[in-house]
Amino acid sequence: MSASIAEIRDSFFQECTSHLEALQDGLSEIENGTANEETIHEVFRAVHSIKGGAAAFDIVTLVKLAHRFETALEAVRSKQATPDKKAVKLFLRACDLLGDLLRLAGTENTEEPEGFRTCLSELDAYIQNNAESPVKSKSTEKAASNAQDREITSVGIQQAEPIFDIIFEPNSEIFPSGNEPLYVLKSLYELGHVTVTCDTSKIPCLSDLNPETSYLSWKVELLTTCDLDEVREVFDFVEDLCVLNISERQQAHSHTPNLDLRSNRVTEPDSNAEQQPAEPFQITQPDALSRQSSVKASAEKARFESRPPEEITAPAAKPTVRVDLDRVDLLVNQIGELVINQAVLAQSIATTGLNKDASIFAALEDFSQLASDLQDSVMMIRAQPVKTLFQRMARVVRETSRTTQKDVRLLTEGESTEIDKTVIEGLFDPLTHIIRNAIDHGIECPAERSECGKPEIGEIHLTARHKSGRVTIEISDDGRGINRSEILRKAKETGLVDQSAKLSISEVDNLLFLPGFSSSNSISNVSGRGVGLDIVRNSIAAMGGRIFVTTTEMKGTVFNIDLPLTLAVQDGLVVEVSHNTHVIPLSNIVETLILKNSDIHLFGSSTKMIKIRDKFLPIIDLGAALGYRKRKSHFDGCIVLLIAQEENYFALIVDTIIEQRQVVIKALQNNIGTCPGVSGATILGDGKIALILDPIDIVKTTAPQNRFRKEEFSLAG
Amino acid sequence: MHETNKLDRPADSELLSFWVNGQEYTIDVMFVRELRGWSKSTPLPHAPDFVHGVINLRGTILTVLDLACRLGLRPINATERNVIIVAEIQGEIVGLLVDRVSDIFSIPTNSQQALPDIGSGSGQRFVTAILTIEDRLIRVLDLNAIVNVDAANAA
Repeated sequence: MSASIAEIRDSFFQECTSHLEALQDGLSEIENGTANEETIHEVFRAVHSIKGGAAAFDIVTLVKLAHRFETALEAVRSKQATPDKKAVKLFLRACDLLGDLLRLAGTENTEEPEGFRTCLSELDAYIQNNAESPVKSKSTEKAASNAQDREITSVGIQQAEPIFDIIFEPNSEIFPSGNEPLYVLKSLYELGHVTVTCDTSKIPCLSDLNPETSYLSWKVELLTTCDLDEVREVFDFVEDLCVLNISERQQAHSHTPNLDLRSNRVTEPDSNAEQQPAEPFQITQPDALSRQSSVKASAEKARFESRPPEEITAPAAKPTVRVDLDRVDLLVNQIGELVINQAVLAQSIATTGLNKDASIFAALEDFSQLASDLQDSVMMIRAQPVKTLFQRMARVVRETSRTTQKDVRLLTEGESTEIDKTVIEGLFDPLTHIIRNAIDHGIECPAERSECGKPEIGEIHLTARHKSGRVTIEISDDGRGINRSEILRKAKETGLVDQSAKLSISEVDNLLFLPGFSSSNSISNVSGRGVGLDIVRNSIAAMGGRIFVTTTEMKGTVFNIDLPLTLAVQDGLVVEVSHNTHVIPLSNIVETLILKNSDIHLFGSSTKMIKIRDKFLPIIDLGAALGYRKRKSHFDGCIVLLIAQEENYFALIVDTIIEQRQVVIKALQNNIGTCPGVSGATILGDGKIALILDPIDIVKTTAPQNRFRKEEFSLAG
Repeated sequence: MHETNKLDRPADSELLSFWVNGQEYTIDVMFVRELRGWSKSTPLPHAPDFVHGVINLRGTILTVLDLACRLGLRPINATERNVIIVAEIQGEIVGLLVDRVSDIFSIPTNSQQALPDIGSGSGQRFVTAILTIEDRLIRVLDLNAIVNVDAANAA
């Protein structure tokens, strides 16, 4: 039983995530002024559903906030007015807090997050200022205060259905004639929503009681779409045996069939009463219902309420399935195995020396096509739209603009762009950092902005798009940009750059990514502690991505993050170095060529460069860099891969190029520490392992000549 | 797994013993996932010298440590006659290259002798106790120390 409760609880949290998403969408629509009536309803529904579920699971803080929030939204909804800017800001904060509370509740943490109290009191103030009909607020109050509350009001009473007040008082003839009032009352339940009150005042004391006579009378409130005749029909057989009074009235809006639990009213035992006739002779509200089943019922109800009838008019979402991520990962792994197995098969068939025309080759071709299609499809399962990430960034923008007291708006584009889930998760910290920097350092305060002739509200654009098999995420602000000479001065001051060094524009921009570099003159709470952009670059590099920055003074700064679509497969070039097979990601390679002696130029005593199209590039011998052999002294006729590292190129010497293929990336276990220059491994067609190299990392660890020499020295020693 | 099993039978522990460079060592059999013959491994550049390489264990990349080298003995010159013990330690799987596996036996836990204080030879920090069975001196290995490279190097 407790397992199923845990399941319901899990699904509640999962649903809340989508409610929150809807809530944020709605609120940002309201903020941008593109909201319509339906948006406000949607927002309201989202909060209401969260509240319902929270009440069912007794998450007190969450209910408190959701309830206030709902009441405030109700004020907006009843007036059908678009709330002002301040109100929207308040709502957005409440929405953020809801998210926090949900996360806390997920870990069974009941403490109040920061700003909880202030948000509550601000919501209260808003409600007071926008006073609305007391009835509504009362009914919502009740709902919040009691988790078991049936909350019948919201289920279906909004339609103007007529109410029949029926007084049914059987006389002494009813039992002898073989009729049973219970069945009559039961039939009423089939007509609509019934509230029955039993009048027991006429029951005499036991000595005077005639067991064959009825002493009871009932007052029935029937909410139904049927007309008077249909109601009367129920009493067809007993009409002459009772006093019957049926009167019709239109439903007043103030009608609250919330029942007083202590009175002896007959009411439905659970919210499913509309489908199944309840037992009318159950005298009290079943307070005794086991807590578990009532929790279940409430959760059921919460789920039911999350899809109110109006939602049908909204564009229908595509049906989706929630799947445990582990299962997807398992599938991804197994397909990876399949692809490897297919390669093994292909290789072993090739070695049998069969005629190339044999039908088996055609079948094999199909198989490999199928396997790679399958792999693509599985990768698509892992892919998720960046929307959730962008929404979290919206929050970062809101919070940072509040602490820095700058008005900043976040505009997003390409929210539906899909990237691998792991990449999305890995992007959160880097993006947060960049956005905080942009607001803190980039965007000027309102006064300064209007002086420069810019609109007072700063803008940050967040764009995601697919670009030739990779994903580009662009973060741009319209702030003051980065002062290059200032950066250079700082870098020289702190000794990061040699005093006499002359750097190109892009080199200066990329100084920002150096460890220990901070351009801000003052350190603020938000950013500027000199730790940051280097970490941003590292975490993006860890995902196989790259980051660039371009800045225009007075116009703003643009960060470009270039990421692989998936972390599970990669196009690579299989090469051999000193009889070891390695894979070099194709995304790093610009071109391949064969060295001629005439291209090679000597710099200093040992540094060799090659001249390619009037550019001199350093040469790195991969075999030596990996410690397999001594550095080659003759490069004539060597095969060279031209590797691009942002705008710097270098030449990597390999022994042989074997093939170009897609490889499944397998992680190396970390139990022996990390291997510099190795980003992972893959299994080749013959079952052998090939290491996937990260040439840029190899350059980093070997390119500075002094470090390289030290390496050789330590190898020799 | 390993822990509960110990609790069930507090008196006995089941051990797997093997030879490394003429010395007999043992580990709790509950660490052992499987034994397999040596196959050519792929070397890892710039890895510590006790890392023999990586092999393909049914689609998983398995790091194989040269146990002799790890214990400060001469590296094993691996041939098909060598054995890789696939062990699971701290949730991670690692391969241990040894000369040969000799025995599986069950002994009372309390028959392990504490290590006599003989100074700190380079391999000693990995041995937690010793056993004697019919004149054989068997060293009980601390697998956690073997795998935990950082802590071991810091020590």
